[in-house]
This record gives sequence, C-alpha cells and structure tokens, in this order.
Amino acid sequence: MRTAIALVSVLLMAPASDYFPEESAGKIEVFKGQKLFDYMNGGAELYLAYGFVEIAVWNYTAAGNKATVGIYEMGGPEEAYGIFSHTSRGDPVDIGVPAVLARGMLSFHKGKFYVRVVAKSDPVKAKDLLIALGKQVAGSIPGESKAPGEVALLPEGAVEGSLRYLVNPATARTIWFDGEGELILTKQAKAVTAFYPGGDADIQASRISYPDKAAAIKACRALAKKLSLKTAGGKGECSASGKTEDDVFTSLAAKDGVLRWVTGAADQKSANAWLAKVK
Amino acid sequence: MGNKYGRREFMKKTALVSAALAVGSGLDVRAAQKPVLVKVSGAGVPKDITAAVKKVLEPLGGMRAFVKKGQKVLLKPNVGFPTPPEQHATTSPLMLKAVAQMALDCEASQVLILDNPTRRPEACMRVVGIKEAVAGMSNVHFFLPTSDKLYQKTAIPKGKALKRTEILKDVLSVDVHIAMPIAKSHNAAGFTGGLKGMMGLILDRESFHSRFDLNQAIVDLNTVLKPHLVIMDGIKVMATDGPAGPGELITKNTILAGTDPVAVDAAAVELAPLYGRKIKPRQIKHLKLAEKTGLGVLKPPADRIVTLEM
Repeated sequence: MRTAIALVSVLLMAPASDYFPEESAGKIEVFKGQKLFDYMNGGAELYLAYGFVEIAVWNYTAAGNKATVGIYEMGGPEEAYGIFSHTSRGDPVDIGVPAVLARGMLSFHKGKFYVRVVAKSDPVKAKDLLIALGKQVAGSIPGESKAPGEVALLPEGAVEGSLRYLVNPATARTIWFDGEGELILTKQAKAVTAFYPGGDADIQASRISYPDKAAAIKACRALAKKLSLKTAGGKGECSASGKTEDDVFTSLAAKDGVLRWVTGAADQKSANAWLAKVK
Repeated sequence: MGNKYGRREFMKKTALVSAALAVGSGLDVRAAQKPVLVKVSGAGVPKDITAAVKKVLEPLGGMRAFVKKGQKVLLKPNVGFPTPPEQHATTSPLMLKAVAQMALDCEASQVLILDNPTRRPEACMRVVGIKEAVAGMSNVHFFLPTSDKLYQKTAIPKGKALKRTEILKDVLSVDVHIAMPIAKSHNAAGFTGGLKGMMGLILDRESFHSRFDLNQAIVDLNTVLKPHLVIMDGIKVMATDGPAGPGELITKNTILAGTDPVAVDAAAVELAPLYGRKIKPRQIKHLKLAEKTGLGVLKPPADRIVTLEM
C-alpha cells in the first residue's frame, strides 16, 4: 500500500490533467505522527485518535482558482471512514467514490486515506477545480470506499450527516459531552452512533461492540450508573431504562459482547422500540 | 504575575461606575446593577459593527471604564487559521478595528493585537483581513508572534496539571487585556471561545493537546491569564468542523461582552446548536471546570445580564 507522500509524488509526476492543462502544483509538505500539531494545532487530536500516520498537503492553482489538497493516511480503512464520518454533512458528489461537498470543501475516504480538497479562493468558482482534483486523487488511491459493517446495524433514516464511527474516547468528544465515551469506548471497542428525527429533540441510537461479553456488561453497568439508572439482569446480563436528568427517556442493554443504547426519546415505550431496531 | 495585571480593585470600581452610567442611559435599573454579561443581537449588528460594539459595552460603562489615558492595551483575537473572514474561523476584523479605535479614543498609548496562530503566521496574516482593517491606525500593532524569544517562562501557582508555561512577554506588561474570541465548535474541547483562546498567548500549545488533560490545562492557564473584558464575536457561529473549518455557519448576529469570562463563553455556547444539537454550557468540560475553580459562573443571576436589540 502506498503512503500519502508517495501518492502525491505519483500524482505530480503524472501528465497534466485533462481538466486543467494550465494547472500548477505547489510545494508538497508532509507532516508525520505528532507533527500534525504543526499543521493543525487545533483539532489534531481527532485525527491522531483515528490512527493518523501522515499527511501530504499541497496547493493547486488553475484558471485563477486555488485549492489545497490534503491526503491523510490513517490507521486503516475503518479509521479513514471514521474521520470522514465527522465531516460528512454536505451535498453528495460522485467522483468515482462517494464524496461530500460543503462550504468549499470536498472530502472523501478511500482505502486507508481520507482526503480533503479545500477551496482557497471563491468556493463557488472553485467548485469545478475541487471536483476535478478529487477525481484525480481518488483515481490514484487503491482500495475501496466503503463503510465498516457495523454501520449497517443501526436503523435506517438517520439525520443527514449525523452518523459517526468511533474507535476510542477521543473520537467521541463531540458526541458524548458528559464523558460517556470514556465509560463505553474501552480498549478495542468500536461504536456507531446516529441521530434520528424525534419529537422535541432527536433520538440517538448507538451500538458499541466489544472484544468479549464481559467488557460489554461492564460498560453497560458503568453507563447505567452514570445515568443514575438501576440495572436489571443476572450474571452475564445487563439492561437499564428510565428517565435521565435531561428529562429524556433512555434504554440500554448488553448482550453477546454488544452494548445497544438509545437516548433522547419522549417516553419509555419509544426508547424501548428504538432499542429493538438496533441490530 | 509581577505586572499591572493585578488591577482587580480598579475593575470593581469601574463596575460601579458602569452601573451609574447605565442608569443614566435609561436602561432598566435592576439590570444596571453591575452587569457581568451583555448581549446585543439583531440584523443591525453586522450592518454597523462599530455601533454594536459601543452598544454592548455601554452597560459595562463603555470602553472608558476599562481603558485610561496612556495605557497599553492588548486585544486577543482568534487568528489561529489562515482562512478568510467569511469563513468565520477568526475574529471579525471590523470588530477588532472598532475596539482598537475605541481604545485609542480613550487615549490608550498603544493597542497590541496579538495571537500565536496554529498555522504559519505569514499565511494567517495574509488572509484573515486584520492587517488591512487596522492599516493606517497609529499606535495599533498587529503581530502573530511565534519566536520563543518573545515568551517568558511563567509559573502557574494554582495549576493542577499545568505548573508553568511560556507566556508572551507583551501580555505580561499590558495594562488592559481584552479578549476578543469568536464562538466556534471545537473537535477536542467541544467549544472554543475566550477561555480556550488564551492558548494563543503561550508558546507551547501542543502540550495542551498531547501531554496534559486539555480541559484542565485550559483552566489552569486561565488562573493567570485573566482578561479584564471579553468581547465575543457571535455574528456567525461555526457550528461544525471547528476549530479550523470550513464549517457550517449559523447566523446569530450577536456580540457578547462581559467581565466574567466563564459567563461569556457559556452564553456563546447557547447561541447556536453545535454539531446539530443543543449543547448545555455545563457539558463543555473546561467551562464546567472553570466554574468549579472559581474563574466565573456559567449562569449569572438574571439581574446581572443585559440583553439588547439592534
């Protein structure tokens, strides 16, 4: 598998694009591991939490439009999807792989890479450049662009752009603000979570898978305790439900190494019904 | 800090003056009792930012309550990213210009606009629009200092995680410190405003993210870097993909100001849904921790809050 810098080098040595014959690529910069802080001090943690390896970044100018391409090599395809899931709100664009265009930024994931193409001039005028560069980069990356299997285990109909794939507490800081991530995203746990249209507030459904049954039970009990809910079930089982301090109803249960959790429901019946939809 | 920072008594007195001025201006008498948080909102805010800043400062006693003749004034904006003003990742240049001019009108000897950016300073300087906004203003200086020679090792006596750090020397010698953050989402801290923005006045930001608990380190730093006044840019809130963006922008046409940095940040959190949902200030760990540490309150009493339309 290529590295990010190797990928960029190949791209730059390739013949000029059919789309922009007058294009000129700028100097390539590479930041590895913790050096990501030198590139993006604010926000680097999220990338590192998804196993960031290196980024190759360079600027493009074509017909007066400017864009910066950043190719992020992540820990693996799942991690690349994970970081993409945090920036997936926007208009879908087909560049050979599913991409999202929003606010002057095109983003997608393929193989172990996450790619951002950001307009550095008028985003409306630069749209064609963003898409052309996206196609060029996507075509050069080996591998597939698909979501981890766990994503399909959540109910359909999530609020657009709300689905997140989480692999450790640092990836969940903008999802669970009260520290629930620290309790349930234990070592080797993986979570998918999404919001669904509810009444006054959205309903959140989450599915967290653990390497063994005991870890799921332990997380279930810890979460129930934090939410001030009594747990039910004997040895090797855990479930809890009730109204939380935010005046919403929640329901959670651990079974076969998986913790399922629904919160934000207007009543207990609804919370339980949503929980049953989480596979 | 052996500097002019310990001017809290002066600030207490100005709060009383502000109450008197506010009463004189016809504002509600109860609201005029030492307000700690003022909010001005409305379509008129972006149309005339200078007027909006004056309006938001009026219940606090106006700029004269904070800046006196001959004083050196620091304006601390968020200039962390090389993004144009329309992306709202950085503080409004027009707001900075307005505040700088108000400080000069109060006969400040010098106005320093300083921030240690997260990206290359030359790139930030080129695109954020502040250089152009303050061009031609005498005694107003805009720097994005990154050289370690410009920073001084400083103890954080009340720090739990952060015991010492290198703080920008200029910050240690100013008479008046005015924080001017912009309200944004932040993928590590949840939200960034005035408290987190203090990281722009130190040299080693990375250790906050990698070595320390970020939330504790932010609070520790704020035990020594205490702005006299916070003026928050809430004209458009970057509700997703912060701090760098480009993120989803929610128009709020609001400027917040206050002497309680925790209260101002907390009010900013509630301006707009972050990440697509309503977040409560207590859910932002460093704000909750800041209140617990005694740096301010998340929700001041209603009679200490003034809300204005424009």
